[in-house]
Amino acid sequence: RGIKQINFLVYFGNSSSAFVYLFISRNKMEKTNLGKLVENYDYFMVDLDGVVWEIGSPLPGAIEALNFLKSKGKQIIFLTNNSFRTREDIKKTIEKMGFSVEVSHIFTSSYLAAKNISKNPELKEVYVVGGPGLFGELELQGIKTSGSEDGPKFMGEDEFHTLSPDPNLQAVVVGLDPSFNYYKLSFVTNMIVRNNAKFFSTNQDTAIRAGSYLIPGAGALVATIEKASGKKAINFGKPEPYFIQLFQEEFKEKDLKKVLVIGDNLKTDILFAHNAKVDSCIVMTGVTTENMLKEEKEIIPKYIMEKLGTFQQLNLLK
Amino acid sequence: MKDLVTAGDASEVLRDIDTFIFDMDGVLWRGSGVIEGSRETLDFLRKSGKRCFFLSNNATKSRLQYSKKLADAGFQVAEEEVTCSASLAADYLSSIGFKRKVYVIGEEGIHLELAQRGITSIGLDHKNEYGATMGDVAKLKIDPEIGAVVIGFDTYLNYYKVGYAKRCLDTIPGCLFIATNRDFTFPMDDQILPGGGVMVGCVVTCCAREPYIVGKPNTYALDALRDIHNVDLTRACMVGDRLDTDILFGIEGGVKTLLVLTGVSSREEVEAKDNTIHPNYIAPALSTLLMAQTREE
Repeated sequence: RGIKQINFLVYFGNSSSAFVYLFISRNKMEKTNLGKLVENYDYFMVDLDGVVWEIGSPLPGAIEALNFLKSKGKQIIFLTNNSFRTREDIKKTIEKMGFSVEVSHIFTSSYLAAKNISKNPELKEVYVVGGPGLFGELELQGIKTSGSEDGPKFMGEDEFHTLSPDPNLQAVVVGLDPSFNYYKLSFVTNMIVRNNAKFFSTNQDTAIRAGSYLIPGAGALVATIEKASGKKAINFGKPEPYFIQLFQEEFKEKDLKKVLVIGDNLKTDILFAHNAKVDSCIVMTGVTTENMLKEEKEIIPKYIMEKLGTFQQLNLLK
Repeated sequence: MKDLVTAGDASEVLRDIDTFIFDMDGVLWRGSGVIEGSRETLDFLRKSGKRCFFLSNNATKSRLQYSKKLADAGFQVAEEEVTCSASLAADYLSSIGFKRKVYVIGEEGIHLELAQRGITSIGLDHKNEYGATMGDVAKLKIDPEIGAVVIGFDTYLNYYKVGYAKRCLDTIPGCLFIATNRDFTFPMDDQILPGGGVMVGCVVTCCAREPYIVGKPNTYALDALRDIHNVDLTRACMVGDRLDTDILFGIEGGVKTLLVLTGVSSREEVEAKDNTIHPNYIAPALSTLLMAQTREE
């Protein structure tokens, strides 16, 4: 069961019902398979890091592939666990790379968190551990935010005495925040334990790629708060299925069979697709290696593609 | 599990135990106040010929600083009777002949103990890197002579430090990973303060690696007591206020355990249906042992 052998050009698999393969060769393309795949789906939910771009540059063929799919009448929705940037900001980056997109087609974990939190009107004021994306999206939904990216630097005597949180602060949302420190950690721990504040996270990715190295992700910050408070966060981002509910609400689409999720991470993108009960395709241009795919026993994607740019092959084969 | 209620109960403890190992927070003092009767009890135990050692999971102070704190609070101690998780971490590195540099997420205690053993440590001034962006962390350069990362309680924890530790553990071949303790909270009046275990948990989460933990409930400290101080562990007793550190430490280490109720763990916790950590003795406070005095007269 699972994947027996992968070589660089040709992907094999056992044909269990959960698993379909695509053949890709240097000389010949299984046009019908890839063509059929494109016909089968109307919505392509595409992850950004490791699928569309890497270290700020578009991956080979990615932008061309997106433009090709769009020309075939497909809807491209970008899905990212990244909470730090605003949707407007991400739109600008994508457009600079040559693909035009509306903010309505960009789903960030901050936007997702803000939409979900705004469904609880009793949560009037929310303490934010995060960047401009998280503050921005919450404020756009009319939620009052507290906290800042310039909190107290250290925990001194004075700061210690401010650890009795205002009972009006009824929730804390945690995303990636490079200004996170012991003070913020203590402050939100006291909010959660002493005032029963609700505890949300935008995402729990443990590490993210930044340049040649990995840096700590929101998941590391969430872990500190969970351990200190003894409470688990309600997580909105992948692999939880909240993004698919957001899609259904905003695109008014009931038939999830028309959706294909494309991502590079088994534990977030592909597991999200499983949880959301939609089809998935993994690409090999990000975190997942062939060895990881061979060893994976539980989270098996429906398709495997070398890269997003593979769709561009269809364009060239006309 | 025996409640120490009568003078006879207290005497039984003294009859069976030659060496007492005391946790400090919640046993001898709480917050900044000495717990009533603890000084007198210690004097009584020493007069009765008992050996006393002091063991804390707190890594913010060095042994010398702890000795001074004990002396200032009116407890008569010798420096070699005091151990804290900062000194345990340094002892461990020293014992394996470690000669490289150490990256520390922690406070002064760890740095002082490492310096005492001639080991260079980095990180104390990284408290000033607060405000570093993700880009700064992505581009940081680590000292290539680092061979170990040590993590303990650190009120100056920030994202830069976590990123630095992660880079060391990800990129330095054979880099050691040591933690002083796993306590998730630090007792302090009404406020809840995250403990060393939280800092450790942060690095464990983003590095997907587990550390070697030198503090309680790991029994590393008992090796030193047995080997260096010739303590007969079959006639030793750990006195503490936390089930999941002090008492578990004693049980795993094969010594007797006395839980005092002046600190973190409550009677309800001990008697809870799902509790698996049962001390040999339980007493309202350390001063309960003073009842044995009446028996002797």
